[in-house]
Amino acid sequence: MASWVFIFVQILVKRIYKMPQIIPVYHVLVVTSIIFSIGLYGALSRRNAIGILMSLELMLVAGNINLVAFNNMIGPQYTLQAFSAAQDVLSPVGQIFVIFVITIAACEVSLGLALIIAMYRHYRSIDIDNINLLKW
Amino acid sequence: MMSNLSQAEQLASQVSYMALWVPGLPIIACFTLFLCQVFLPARIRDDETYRMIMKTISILAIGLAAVIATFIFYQFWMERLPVVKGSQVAARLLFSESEIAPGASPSSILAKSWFSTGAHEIKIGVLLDNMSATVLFMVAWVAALIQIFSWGYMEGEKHIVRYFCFHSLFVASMLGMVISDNFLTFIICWELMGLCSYLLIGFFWKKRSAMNAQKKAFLVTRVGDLGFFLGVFLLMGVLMQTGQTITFRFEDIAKLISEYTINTKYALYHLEKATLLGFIPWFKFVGNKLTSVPGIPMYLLTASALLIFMGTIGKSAQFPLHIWLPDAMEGPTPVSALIHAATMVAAGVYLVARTYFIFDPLGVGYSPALMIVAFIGAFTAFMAATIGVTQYDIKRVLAYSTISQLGYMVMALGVGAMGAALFHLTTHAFFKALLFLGSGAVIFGSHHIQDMRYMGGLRKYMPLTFVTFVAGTLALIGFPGTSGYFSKDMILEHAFMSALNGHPELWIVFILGISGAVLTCFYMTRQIWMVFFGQNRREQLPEEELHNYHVHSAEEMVPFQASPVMYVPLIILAVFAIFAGYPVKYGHPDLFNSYLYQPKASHASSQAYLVTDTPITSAQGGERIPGEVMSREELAGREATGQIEGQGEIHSKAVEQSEESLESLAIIPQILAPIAALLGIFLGWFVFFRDEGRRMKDSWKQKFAKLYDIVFHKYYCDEYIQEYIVEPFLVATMLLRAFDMYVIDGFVNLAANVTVAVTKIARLFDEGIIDGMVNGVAWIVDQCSQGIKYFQSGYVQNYFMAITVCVLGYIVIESRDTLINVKNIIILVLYQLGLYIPPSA
Repeated sequence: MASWVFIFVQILVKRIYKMPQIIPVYHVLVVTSIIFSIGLYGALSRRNAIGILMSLELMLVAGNINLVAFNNMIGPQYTLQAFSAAQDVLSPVGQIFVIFVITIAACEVSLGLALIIAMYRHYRSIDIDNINLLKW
Repeated sequence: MMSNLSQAEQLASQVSYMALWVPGLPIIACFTLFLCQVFLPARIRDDETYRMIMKTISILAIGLAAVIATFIFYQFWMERLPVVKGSQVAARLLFSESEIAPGASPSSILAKSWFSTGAHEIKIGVLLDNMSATVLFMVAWVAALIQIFSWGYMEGEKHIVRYFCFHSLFVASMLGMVISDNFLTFIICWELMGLCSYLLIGFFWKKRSAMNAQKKAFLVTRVGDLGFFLGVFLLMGVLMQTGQTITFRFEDIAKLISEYTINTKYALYHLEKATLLGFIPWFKFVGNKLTSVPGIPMYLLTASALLIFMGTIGKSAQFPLHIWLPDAMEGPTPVSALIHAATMVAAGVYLVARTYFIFDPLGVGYSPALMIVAFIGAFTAFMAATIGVTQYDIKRVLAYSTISQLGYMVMALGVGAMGAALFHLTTHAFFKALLFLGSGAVIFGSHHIQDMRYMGGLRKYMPLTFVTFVAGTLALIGFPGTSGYFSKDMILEHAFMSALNGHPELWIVFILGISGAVLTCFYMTRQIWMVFFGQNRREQLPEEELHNYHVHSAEEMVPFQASPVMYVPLIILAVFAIFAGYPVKYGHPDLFNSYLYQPKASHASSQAYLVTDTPITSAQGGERIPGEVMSREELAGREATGQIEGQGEIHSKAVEQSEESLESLAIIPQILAPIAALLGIFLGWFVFFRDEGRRMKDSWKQKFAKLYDIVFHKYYCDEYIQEYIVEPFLVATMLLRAFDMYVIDGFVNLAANVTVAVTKIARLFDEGIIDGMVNGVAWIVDQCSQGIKYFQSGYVQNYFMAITVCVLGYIVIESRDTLINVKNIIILVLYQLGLYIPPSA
């Protein structure tokens, strides 16, 4: 077991050294996929409403990182003239989307927390399993 | 703007605005009384002071209206406003724009647009000429005096406010009708008068006879009104044929008729040939067919004139429809006075006078329509006078006398003497109001006995009433010097001269008129004798009738003289009745000329007129149209100045007769009329005041018992109308009702039943099949969903899971054949992480 871990770490280290200066987008995508999956799993499995909310935030964060990563990947050739006269300046479009997403996420969270408070006041609990009135 | 108008026009404008207040004040009084009576509490309404105030309001309003009417009348009397002169207008074309005589400019100022329908703008306004101003003056004063009399006569009556309210409305509608300058407001006021007569005749509505009388009056006059409306509609239709916009104003209608009939070729030529009976040439009066000149067909004008005259027959109680007037005696006596003198029956005569341009479109004082008018009038005058001889009720005698006098007026209209008709209307209003109020004072003074058989000798008990009553009688019988003498004489003179001037059928009219005059004197002498002379006969009153008068014996019913509030109006009216004739006859003979009707030639003044067959060219370039009428003076003037180069044959039939001989013949009726009056008085005196006369009367009565019976029962007019018109009508309505009930209703009910049966079947289909299909679908869906409905768990995470699975499944399935599928992504990721090396690399 220890030898397998060692070999794995060695492989990783070798690959890292081989990598160019910019982190390739695939790496980021892997990370974000993991984060998204964690969020998805949390949203599906948590019983606590606040936990579900946090999981949703994780999924959004994964998306945001993706946006930034893709923005870096496509590079300066898609820079809009409106943002900069210089061709080689990186476009901030992805980042701008991220800011929008964060803003909306903030709203969503506030709304969700408000709903949770209302739910708590009504049920004296925030366990999502108690909420099943809208069924057959 | 006003500075452009002449002084007379300014005055006319002001006077027209003032004239609105004449009907306006009684209307205001009427509404005041009405609102007070409706909205004030019963505590106040039962108070005697309240009634006094209401009566005072009504009398003040109408008195003020009378003062205003006097002012307006004064303007015409002093000729500050243009007075239409017969001689002035004779020599000119009626209404031709270029030749309007300065003396006859219109006095109709207030013509405002009321509403407009499509292209037609309906204008209403005030028409004041000397005729309407005079009638306005007469109506306002007579009505005011009657209201003052009512104060005394209706003393102690509980519903006095209602009485004065209707009274004011009645007078207001008559005054409004007099100043109307269009058919629309004329008809509105006309109908209001019918309504008011209904309300007032049935004032004592608890009496069954009063109820019947009011219904009879209303319905009988409605028959005439129907004809009136049809006549107006026909006239409008005829006028629309000319292509002009529709108008209800008399002035415009007169202008249209004048323009479109004056061109009718040969019209007058054929009129000349219409000697014995005017019926035959009717068909030759057609403007369109004989010439190319556009014209209004004369027979249509005649038809509309006769239909309009039906309104007069109804309202003014002419022969077939006179039956309502005697029954209208059921109302209070002042109401009878109002109906007979000022308002209701005067309206009919005024209608014909106002629309005289329709009856006599050629302006020659003769037309087929007028001839029928003359015959109906003369027959009514004679027939009513004969009935008056036999009646015993004091008011009924006067009622038949009214019908008779109205017959004279209509006869005067028929023989082309419109001015004489209105003159007689005015004088008659004064003396008939006097007689009716006098009879009211007699009835009031003799404890409401109306039967003359139980009166007698009253001149000792009520001397003032007696004197005024005799004054009214003298005026009615046309005693020389009284006002009735002048007006009746003028009518007979016109009838005589018309008959002399080539219309021999009018001799019948003249003879009927003269005999009617004799009879009038006869029955009035009889009435005077029965009421005021001889012994008082109240003891002869049957015992069983005494309870009607609330006494135990006839001895208690001592006659007495009425109070000053009753005899002062009588004295004023007596002064008018005696002296009203002089200033008109000698001062203003043109007082009753209408602005709208200006005769070109008059039979009575024997003005000659000429008819040309071919055009006469005048030197000024204008062309006189063939068939045109010209007065003798005009022709002479034109010949003298060389304006006429005669080219055609000139029919100068009337010219050949010497004018002087005709003028001298006019003395015959002037002598005949007073002789007739004196003869009638003498006969009456002989028959009633002398014993041998009375014996002769009784023997004659027995000898001609059958004839007497017929006349006493008013020629069985009521019975005939009841039997041959009313009862067939009722039978017809019953038949129609049966038809309606069994046939029409049967169809309707059958249709309903069929529908019900059909709908029952349709209901089964609907419930079984249509609803079954719908419910079946619902049932199937329900059954199918029983198993899978538990999928809807209510847990949000279940739904989220389903979404996630679906999305992932979708991605996997959709991308399985593409380059970027799940397998390749995993390989790519592993490759990038260095965990996978492709075999070929």
